[in-house]
Amino acid sequence: MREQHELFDHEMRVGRSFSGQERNCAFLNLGQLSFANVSSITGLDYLEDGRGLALSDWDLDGDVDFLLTNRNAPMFRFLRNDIQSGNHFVSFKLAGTLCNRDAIGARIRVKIKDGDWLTKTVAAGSGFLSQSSKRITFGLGQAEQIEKVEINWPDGSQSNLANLAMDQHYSIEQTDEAPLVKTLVRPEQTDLQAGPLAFPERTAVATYVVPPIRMPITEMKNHDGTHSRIDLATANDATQFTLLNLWASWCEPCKVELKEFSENYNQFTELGIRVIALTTDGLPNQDTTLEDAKWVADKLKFPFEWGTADQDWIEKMSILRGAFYDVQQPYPIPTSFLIDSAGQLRVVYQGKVGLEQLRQDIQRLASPQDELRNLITPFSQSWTSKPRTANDLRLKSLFADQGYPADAAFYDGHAGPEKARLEYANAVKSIMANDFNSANGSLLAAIKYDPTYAPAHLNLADIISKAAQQDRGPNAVQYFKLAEHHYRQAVKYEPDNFDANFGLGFVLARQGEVDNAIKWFDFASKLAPTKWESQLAAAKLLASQGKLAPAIQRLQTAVSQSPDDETLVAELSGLLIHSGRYDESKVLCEAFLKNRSNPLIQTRLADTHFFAGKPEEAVSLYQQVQPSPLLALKTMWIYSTSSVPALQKKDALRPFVKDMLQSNRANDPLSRQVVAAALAQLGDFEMASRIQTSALRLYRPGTADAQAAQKRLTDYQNKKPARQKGAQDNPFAQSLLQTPM
Amino acid sequence: MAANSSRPHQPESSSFWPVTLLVAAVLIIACASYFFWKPVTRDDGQGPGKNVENVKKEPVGETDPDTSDTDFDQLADIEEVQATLTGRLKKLSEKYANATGLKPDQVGQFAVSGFSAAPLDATHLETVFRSPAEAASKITARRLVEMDDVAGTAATIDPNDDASPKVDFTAFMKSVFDPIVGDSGESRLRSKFKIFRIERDQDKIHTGVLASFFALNSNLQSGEFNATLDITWAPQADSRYPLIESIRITDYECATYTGSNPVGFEDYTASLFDHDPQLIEQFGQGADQWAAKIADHGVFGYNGICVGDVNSDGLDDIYLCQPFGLPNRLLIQQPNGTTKDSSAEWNIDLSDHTRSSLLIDLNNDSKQDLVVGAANGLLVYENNGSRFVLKSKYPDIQDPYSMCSADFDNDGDLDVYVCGYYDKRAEGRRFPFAFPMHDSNSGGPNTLLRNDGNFQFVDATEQVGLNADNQKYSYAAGWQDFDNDGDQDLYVANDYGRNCFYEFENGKFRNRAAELEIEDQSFGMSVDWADINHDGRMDLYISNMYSTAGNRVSFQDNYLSRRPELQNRMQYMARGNSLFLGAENGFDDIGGSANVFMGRWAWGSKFVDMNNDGWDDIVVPNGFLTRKIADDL
Repeated sequence: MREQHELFDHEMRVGRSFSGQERNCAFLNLGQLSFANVSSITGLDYLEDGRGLALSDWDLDGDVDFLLTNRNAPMFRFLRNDIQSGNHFVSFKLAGTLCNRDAIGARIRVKIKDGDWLTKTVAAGSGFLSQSSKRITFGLGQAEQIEKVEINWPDGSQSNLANLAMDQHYSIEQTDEAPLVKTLVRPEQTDLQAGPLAFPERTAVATYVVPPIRMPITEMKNHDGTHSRIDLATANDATQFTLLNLWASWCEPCKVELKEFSENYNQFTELGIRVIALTTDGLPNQDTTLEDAKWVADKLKFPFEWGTADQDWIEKMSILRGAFYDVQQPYPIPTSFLIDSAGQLRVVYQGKVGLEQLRQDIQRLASPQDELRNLITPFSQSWTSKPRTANDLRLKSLFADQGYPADAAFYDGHAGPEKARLEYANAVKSIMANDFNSANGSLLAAIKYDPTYAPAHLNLADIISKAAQQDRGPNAVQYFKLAEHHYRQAVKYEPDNFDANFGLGFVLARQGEVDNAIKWFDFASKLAPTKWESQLAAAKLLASQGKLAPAIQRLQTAVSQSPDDETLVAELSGLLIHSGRYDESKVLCEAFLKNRSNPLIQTRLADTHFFAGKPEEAVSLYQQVQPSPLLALKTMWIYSTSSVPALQKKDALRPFVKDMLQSNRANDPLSRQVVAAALAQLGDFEMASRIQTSALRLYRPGTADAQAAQKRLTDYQNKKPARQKGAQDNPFAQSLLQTPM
Repeated sequence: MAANSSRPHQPESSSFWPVTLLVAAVLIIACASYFFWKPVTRDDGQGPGKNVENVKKEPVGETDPDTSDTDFDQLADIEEVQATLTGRLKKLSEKYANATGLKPDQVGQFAVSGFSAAPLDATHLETVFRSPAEAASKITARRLVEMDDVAGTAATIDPNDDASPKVDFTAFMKSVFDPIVGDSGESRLRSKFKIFRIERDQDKIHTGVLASFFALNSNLQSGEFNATLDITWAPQADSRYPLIESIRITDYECATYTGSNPVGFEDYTASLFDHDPQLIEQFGQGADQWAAKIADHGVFGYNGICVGDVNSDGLDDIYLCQPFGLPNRLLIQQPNGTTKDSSAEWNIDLSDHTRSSLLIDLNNDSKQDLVVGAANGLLVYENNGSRFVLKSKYPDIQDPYSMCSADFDNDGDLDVYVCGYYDKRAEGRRFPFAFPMHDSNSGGPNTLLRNDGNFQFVDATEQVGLNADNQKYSYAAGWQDFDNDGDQDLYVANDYGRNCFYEFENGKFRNRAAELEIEDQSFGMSVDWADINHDGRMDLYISNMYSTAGNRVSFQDNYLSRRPELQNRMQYMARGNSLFLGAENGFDDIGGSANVFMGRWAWGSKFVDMNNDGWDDIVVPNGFLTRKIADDL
């Protein structure tokens, strides 16, 4: 099976045809379910390997022109319809308003007077890899006039149009009533002339190898017949580049080239280039001998190293090329290989190469890593994918398969990044299977193979962070520190990764480094404006520091991106209330509740009223929501602290107090405060004072809540019930900073 | 000359090529699948009868098909004969570069000395098409009438009937191309013969041949004929080349064109590109040239195209997708009909590997947004009036092929269906390995992306039931309301096997292709819909592969003879494109009677009314790989 694939692969590389030289076909519809072959007389029967076909009445002359793409040259043909058919036409472009704007899916039916109904559909995407114009052209033959036109819009509505003229281009916009009809006047078109693309002259001789490929073990045969290995990795040397030049004594351009190299060799040296000339003279299938080469070398006084190319090496260079290029071409003579100080092949020059070209290329090769791939064509371009990296593992297996074990081992030694990716793939499988121990091991191995591999760091950090969150013991601190280290590595090597930025913020927050954490959350937010997790996290941290305005600002951004998320709206509303911005909170909640009911936001709306000093509204809203302990407390607090008799629902307060005291549920300061206030409202000031004292003990002394509680205790001791006026001293204020459950 | 770049471990024996040719013949039917020629040691003791029985229950299971009865030597042998005869026909076609054709002394190289055949009798050609009187470009089409319809004339073209008039080889050939040349004076001829059937009896070789002639005449007129010929060859004792003994015309159709140009369509690309040297350099070369310069460029050349009005000026613009390393191009139409390359200005000069794109309004703001299928994921761009802004990216959808859009849930915004070909798990393969090739389910999933507003999409494939039969090698799909019930149904063309047709009913899609008999079990490449007969029901045309080699091999008596159903399927797979006519209760398979099978190795077929007569015609771009080494098929 694999052999068959390799055979096919080989056939592809050397350029064998499969079902090639096929002429495009065209069939003329004769009516009566019969077609005539008109492939040639239409002029459509080009020999190229046609692929996509898009239709458009490009020149708006009433007939449909063809836009054709091909596999081979030319890759594109604009075929204008020059058939002067003598027939009528009408064309339509639809605009939906009650359906999708492009009116994709709409049916247009044209009734010809005394003739047939013609039917066409507005479509987007048809044929193969193609999308045709949304202007729909109807050929009308020898019709006298259009009787009527019916449009069935995708929303199910129908428009009927009468009195449309033939040979017009109409634009039709759907409305609630009669559609708007406009005609399009075709612009002057004078500059289109028949003529296909002329094939460009072949200019480029330089092929840039992107990503760079590590050279195989390179040997040359010395004049005495011994072999010596050429060390291409010259990192510690003044030599920045090696130019391996393949030449032969019978090759005239080679000699011209080598003469230039020899005469200007000091300039090569200045550029950091050393030249090594490898001749093919004397190789088995050559007519010339090493003596011929020696004669040339002596005559030109080569100032650089030279020797005979190794037959195996030439084959290895061919394997190397085959590994990356889908079309195999033999290397011509001369060919030069520009190799960098890391021993990586960067440029291949087929034919002669000059000093100026080398100078320019060395400059180009100094471009940042991300821009290197722009060298592969002379066109301006942009990318959405990450640059590819060389695959030493692939080379390893290729050289092993082709019988070069030493080279295979050589590539294996450099295959760290690819091995890292394999380990990473294993880790992902383990994570999917919830086997975090194995995942941990694989990720550590991946990092060992490639310390710069961000995904491994990120996933490892995630696993450690998760462990830290579950660990209640003393190890948690160390775990968070370790997770932080890996998140930092991930961010270092992949600064644009949202998860890495967010994760780093999270572990910093858990270690109490709030300001730092906010910084990373904000980085994350910039990277992915549509993800609100980081905005929310930053807002929470800011709020916890009392920085409400910036917290609100972040949440507002998040809500504008995700207006339908209840958590975000609830958080924002809570902060707005906390800041006394009741109107904004009210508008926010009411907008959210416009078309739906949502207990969380309804509660927030009630809270808004509660803190704004409108207890009646608050109570009535609280009662509409599913009861919860916190809601009950709030309601009871309103009953207990209201001076309005109608709101002092003593009938409700009594069972509440009884229940709370008996069930011993009043074990948090807030509940105790509410029970105390209820008792005070019911007139039992002594009990109220006792409970309030117990509540007070649970607050941190000196806080605003503690001071307010103390004030209330004094009131109870003076037999005065508690009175809540809006937000002032509201014991529920802190609860606003957490999303109520 | 080249430094030796031959591979060290490639077999070089002379027996290598005939085998490969044979393999390649099947490649045409089977694309990359070489299995069928693999010697199979099968004797499970069940006997042949059992096997045939099993076929229906397990539509060709997971194991190699039974080819034990196929005599490969004999097939190879007959393919070799075929290659010889094809060579002779090629020579013959070279001689007919003009109406003079063979010189008298050359006839003996091709035909036996006593050759005689009934000539084409032009009086039996019936005009099936004629342009209206108002037309400045005249098209005519003529066809041989059914012999049974012409009383008493059947004999006139029956070479076996001694009573019919016979002529010599030169006169016979002249009779055949006369209708496309007429008395126009100077003509250039181009011809091609393809053997689609071959049989050998004791001393003769019988071939079925497709003959196509094109004539470019001096009076701005062109003509073509497409004929089916039965050619009988007599092997010669003193030559390795058999000679033509008789020819019988079984089918003949010709068409002519007269206009201001010799043919109906002209190539205006250079001026459309406004002679932009960058565009000329990029598109004037093909995949083979670029793949030699750009690593991982690929040679299959799946370059998609979409048309839309990007700058809302009422004129169509073009977006061209390009393989890895070459920038995609946005060509904006200028008032004078030429274009300006605006790819970089509009922020979509992507060099990632892309195949297809859609220009559609995703947020109903009257501006055409862009969806690009890139190898690294689906990219969604908003058109903000002066450039495209990347709004969302779906990296899980890797390596998309054709896409098509419709508002399937009728919520007022456009959703997108994306075809997947390879299974991502099969990474590292350079060519698909589909098995069994006539019913593969190892391809990549297709995805329905539901538009949830704000350029965010959700994968709704499973939710709406499109995950059924969703592991095929899908090349293309097309939305259409086939039953005129107001909602969008979806046809999906799959390589290596059954196509799918999902009918939308009550919020769910259901694959009804088998039920409606439109599985079209072949190598589906494209989908297009049109109402070709004005009955208000939409009809369907699917690109497949018409293969003369496939026809030759799959019709051999001993090929897969123990599995007649499989043999039928192989024959179906080689038959070519399919035309399904929307009928009251499903579809009628009319590609054969309508004469539209022969689209060769077809890709993006389209219905289009070329001559505005109200009847939609069909155009088929085709050809797989034309390269420097011929395939001789």
